[in-house]
This record gives sequence, structure tokens and C-alpha cells, in this order.
Amino acid sequence: MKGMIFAAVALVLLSGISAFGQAEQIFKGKVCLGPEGRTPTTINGELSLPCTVPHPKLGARYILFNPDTKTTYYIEGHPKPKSFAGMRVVVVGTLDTSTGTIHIDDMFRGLPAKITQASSVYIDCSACPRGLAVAWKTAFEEIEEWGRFDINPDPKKADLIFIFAGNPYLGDYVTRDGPDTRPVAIKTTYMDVVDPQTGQDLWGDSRVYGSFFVARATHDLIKELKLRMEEESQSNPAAILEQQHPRKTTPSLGN
Amino acid sequence: MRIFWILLFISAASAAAFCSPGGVLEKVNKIQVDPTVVDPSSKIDDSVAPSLVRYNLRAAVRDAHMEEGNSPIRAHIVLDIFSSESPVRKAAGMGSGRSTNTVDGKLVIQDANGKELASVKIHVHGSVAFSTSDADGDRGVHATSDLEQRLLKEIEALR
Repeated sequence: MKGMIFAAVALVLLSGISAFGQAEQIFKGKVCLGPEGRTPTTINGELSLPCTVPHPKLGARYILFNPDTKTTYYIEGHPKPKSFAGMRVVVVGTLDTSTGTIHIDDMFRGLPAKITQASSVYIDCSACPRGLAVAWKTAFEEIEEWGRFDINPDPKKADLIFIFAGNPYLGDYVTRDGPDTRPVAIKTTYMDVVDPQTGQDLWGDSRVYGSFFVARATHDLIKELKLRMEEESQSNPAAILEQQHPRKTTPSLGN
Repeated sequence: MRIFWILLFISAASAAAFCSPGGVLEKVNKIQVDPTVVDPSSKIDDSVAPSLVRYNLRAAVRDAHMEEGNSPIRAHIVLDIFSSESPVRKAAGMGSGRSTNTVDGKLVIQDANGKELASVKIHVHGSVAFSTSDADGDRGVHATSDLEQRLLKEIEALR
């Protein structure tokens, strides 16, 4: 009888250790097509792997490559890694150390360091006619309440540009010659976070709320970015899994 | 002879005006924009108003080609009244994007010791947000507000 109790206790302890070994963790990196272990190349001082392969070999698998730690893991599960190929992502999952595979519980597009490290923003609503004009004031109120960024009136001195518009961003903030003359039908409110030096779209999303609810759309878009930034700095996987919002698992820029 | 004296007086007066010392912001390239001062007796119906007014002042400093940052010359606004449109007017203008506010206060310039160098009364009935107007033709141009334009005018006058 004593032996049976001892065995039961041992079983419980062992299962606990096993569960601990496979606990959910947060992994960050870039989704690339395998095989793992390829030598990364340095482009513009940044380590990278050729992540998208035009004609992958049969059986090729997706990997998560972390340029900081230079580690690679196979990734599998939902959402499918294929739609995130070439993107910087945050993965919540369990690592099977015997196969070097992460089983995905949740995965979403990571934010560039330029966003997470920024301290000031410029709000650009220069293509905001009619009902879209409320976007500027709403954005100002939301960012003030958030308290994360200083709102700078000089776009050249701000770390980021928050562009609000009724048309998708064309990536031409720096190169654009003259005003955006595209006609605006205020059906969709677009928000794009742009690098003021390069004009690169660092993050973007949109809401199709019509012209009477532009303020609501702006509020939601900033809230979405705030959530994403909180997730990015989160170290507790359970906290990330708890958060549910529409764009979390969608890899596209939203434009 | 009388005409000669009149002409002499006019030329002397104009020369004196031309050679008179500039405003308190003459030769000032950098200015520190301090937070808006709100008195408990002020009538403000928007919690974001002090920040919004300060932003307008920062934008005006920038448009006056002055640098904003740590400086012995400091500027701030004392806000007495900030009121938004009535809900009825807002509803009437819904969809136009036009938003009108009334701002009453003072633009105050101080030195490093807090000594007041200048104080200018400000009264604006117009926009405080930096969107383009409701006219399609204004799209894409540098967005500005009526309050910023007024502050810019006062800063230019103090130079």
C-alpha cells in the first residue's frame, strides 16, 4: 500500500515537471521558410534570412528565426505560419525541446522597434476633409489620455507620424510632391504609423464606420495600437492569450 | 517755414519709429513653452483644453521659425475661457468637420527668473484643431488652426 502511494505521488510530481517543461512561452522573431540552421546574412547591419522562397521544396517547413539570439525553431499550428512569411511576429506557444518545434497557441504580427521605442508623435490629418476632420482632435485626446507619447507639432522632430486619412497610405510621405489630391469618400478611416525619415509604413489599420463615426473609428484605431504595444511588452503568455481583438491574428497592414 | 517744420517732425518721428528697440522676443531663437496655467475660476468645458492650447503655442513657435526647448525665455498661456460649440450647433454642423471654440486668455512671456516680459490678451473664436477645413481645395496643405495663427501673429509682433 505504501508503495502504491509513493508511486502515485511520484506520478503526480513527474506529470507536474512534464507540464512545466511544456509551459506556454512567448517567442519573438521572423517567420521564414526552413530549413533551420541556415547561415543568416547581414543586410544594413541587421541579421536576416531569406524568408520567402519562390519554389519551396516538398516538405519545407516554416521556422521562427530570432536575429538577436540567432536561434531558429520549427513552428506549426494555427494561425498558419505561411501568411506571416517574412514578418516579425510574436508567438505564444509551447516548445517541444526534443524536436525544436513551437506549437502555436497564438501568433500576431510584431511591432517594429521604431514604434516600441518611440517617444514622440506628430498627428497628420492634412487629407481630412469634411467629417474626417474630427480625427485630429480625437487622436489628440486619445494620445494625451494614453500618456505614452509627446505630441510634437514638428513632423521633422517627431519619432513617428500618425496619419489619419480616408484613403490608404501609399508609402509616399517623404517623396510626395504636393498634396494628396485623391477624392475622399469617407467610408473608411485609415490610420498609419509612418517613419518620418523614410516614409515607411510601420503599422496600419482601418475601420469602416462611415463619415458620422470617424471619432469612434479613430478612438478604436488608437486603442488597437495601444493594445498591440502592451502585448509587445508583455512577458506573461496567459495575459496575451486573454486579449481578443479583431486584428490580432491578421498579418496584413490593413490597407 | 511751417511746412519745413512739419516735414522735419514727420521724418524725425518715422526715424525714431524705425530705430526703436524691438520686442521682447527680438534676437530670441529658442523659447521654452511651459504648461498652460488654468485658474480655478477659469471656465473650461474640455479636459484636454490646456494641452491643446499649449500644442497650439508650440506650433506657433515652430511656425515663427524659433526653436522650442530649454531656454531662459519662456512662454505660456493663461487660460480663462475655453468653450466648445453647443450640442445643437454641433449637430447642425455634423458631417462638415467644422469645429469652433472660443478661447480667452493671455500669452505670457517670462525670463528665467519668472519676471513677466510681456502679456498679450488672446481672444479667438475659431478652430483649435489641426485639420484641413471642410473645403476640398484645402486638402494636403499645411494644416493649421485659427488659434495657432493668432498666436503666431502675436509672437511675430513681439519680435
